[in-house]
Amino acid sequence: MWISVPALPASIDVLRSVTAVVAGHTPLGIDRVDDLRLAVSEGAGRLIRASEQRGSLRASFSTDGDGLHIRLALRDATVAQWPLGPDTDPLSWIVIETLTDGAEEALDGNDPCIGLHVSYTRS
Amino acid sequence: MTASGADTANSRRDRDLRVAEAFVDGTSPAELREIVVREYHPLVLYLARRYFGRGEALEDLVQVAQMGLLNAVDRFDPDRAVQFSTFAAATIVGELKRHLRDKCWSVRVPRRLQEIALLVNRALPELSQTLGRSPSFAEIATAIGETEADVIEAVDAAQAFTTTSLDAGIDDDAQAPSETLGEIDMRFDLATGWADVAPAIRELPERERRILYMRFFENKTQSEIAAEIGISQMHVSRILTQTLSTLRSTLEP
Repeated sequence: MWISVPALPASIDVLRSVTAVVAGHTPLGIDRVDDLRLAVSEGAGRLIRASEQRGSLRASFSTDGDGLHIRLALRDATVAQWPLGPDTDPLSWIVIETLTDGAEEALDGNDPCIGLHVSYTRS
Repeated sequence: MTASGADTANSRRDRDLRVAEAFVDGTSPAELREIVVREYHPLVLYLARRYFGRGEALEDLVQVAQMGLLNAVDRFDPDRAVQFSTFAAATIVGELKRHLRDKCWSVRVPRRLQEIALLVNRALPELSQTLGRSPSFAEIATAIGETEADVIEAVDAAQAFTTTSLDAGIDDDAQAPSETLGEIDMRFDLATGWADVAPAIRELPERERRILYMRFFENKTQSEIAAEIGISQMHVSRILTQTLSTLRSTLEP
């Protein structure tokens, strides 16, 4: 499933709530669901700040036996640089890395994106 | 201290007699309030603690209970055949319940969701202890007899529950983390990625600094932090969200 919202700071609350609903229906514990909400906030903020023009943010959710995967993609926007890497806006990257089991900045076609993964097996 | 421990039936009776005399012997209202606040402090603490663990800091609950006590002084009629302590306890409990139900929700949230969120808050510590891990929403829903969808919605709505007093200190009864604040500040100063926000972190209230440190440096879960600090998991979640948002705002141009 996916949801698309305007790439604006005000949209982050919507993405947080959708993340909570999707993650809440998985075996993830309530602590990890909250962690994921924070990680999604930081990931979305990172993409919005990198954007040089207003586009949209698409959050895609998928599950497998191992865990939950979230892909945040910035669409219809241009960025000066992507991936940013951990040295740019390091606080957001530290938060994302601490609160997930895997995170990467990549390109989804031409769209800058951040992939997040949380495992069901870590408490 | 608990009401049942230090506060024996005899001492309660003596106190009620002293206060009853003060009500009728022409003591000024200011003096009367002072006497009542002093004499009934154990009752205030006892009742505040009874409502602790539902998403509010103990310090805030004590303040609400204190207000309830003062309201009881204003409303008490010494001619009625009821002891002041009985009247005060009922008034304080009323204030605490009203505070938890209404004032804690900064955005209007349906009463049913508020009640589910409070049930979740109450069930979480025992459930986490029984399972030895943070429970899933399905497990929480089963434990409190609600649907998974309602529990998810209630917990999400509880994020709007924002009367956290940012200047509140750590609960005196909670175990103090071993690191001093100076050591914590130094760790933030020296850590890659945190140095830019280290000055802003120093401006945070002590509890927020410690929670940030415990989550990101000690890698403790929200439930572990909640147990150690003496607040609910949902409260830790809100503090982390608010704190990261505050730090983020200091980085914005």
